[in-house]
Amino acid sequence: MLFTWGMMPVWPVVTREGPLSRLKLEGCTAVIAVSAVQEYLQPLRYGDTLTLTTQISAIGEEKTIPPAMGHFVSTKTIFRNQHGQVVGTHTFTLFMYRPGAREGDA
Amino acid sequence: MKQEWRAGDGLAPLSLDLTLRRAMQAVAGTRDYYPFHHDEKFARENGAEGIFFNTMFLQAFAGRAATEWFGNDAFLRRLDVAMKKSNYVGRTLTIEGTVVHVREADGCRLVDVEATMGTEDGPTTQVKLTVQLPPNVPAWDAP
Repeated sequence: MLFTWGMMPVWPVVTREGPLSRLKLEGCTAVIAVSAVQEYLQPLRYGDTLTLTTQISAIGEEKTIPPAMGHFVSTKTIFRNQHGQVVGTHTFTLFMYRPGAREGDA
Repeated sequence: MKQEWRAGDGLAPLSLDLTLRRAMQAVAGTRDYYPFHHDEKFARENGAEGIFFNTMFLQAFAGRAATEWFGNDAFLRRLDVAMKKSNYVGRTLTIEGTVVHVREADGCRLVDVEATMGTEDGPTTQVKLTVQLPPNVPAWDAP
């Protein structure tokens, strides 16, 4: 569930800019999930209020993962309860790539 | 529920049919409207074989496996899923796992598991998880 708490509600429609939407890697508009590591430090209880902060924790050099060229990017999200205690962490690694770009393409 | 675990213990495989209906439920339930997970045409035009299941679905399936194996009183402490291949609609997803460590930390009994999820296409997803077992419950004394 931890990952889902950070997703936008379907309604009402809100737009929130996250660090990934502000990240500009030349031409890399496509994205695929690579791995997700979560730690659960405390149980969540009814009535808790969660606050999450996300930062980009790593941006790799440009790399070719056939057939695409792009970058591995990791984000780390920390979930805290209303007492400021860390209840969980989520490290998500994505491959952000140029659609259709192959090694050797101009 | 089995209480004593040892490194090398195998865990009963668990399977789930990856139907289109389940894919739509996963999209709605996780609010993940990235088109690869609901739009067949988009998925095919962008290099996938079809609609495939998202990360959160795989995390949830691993969590379900953890409670099947260790009971609802076990507490999942850590979950690591690595997506190697896509899990497509129309396949059957199976998770198989083995206990790799049983240890104590801060008075808690922890079990580390390595597991693989796969479909008819072969292994798709590598999973590592750690569960904290419930404290040993003393035998219930009848009044």
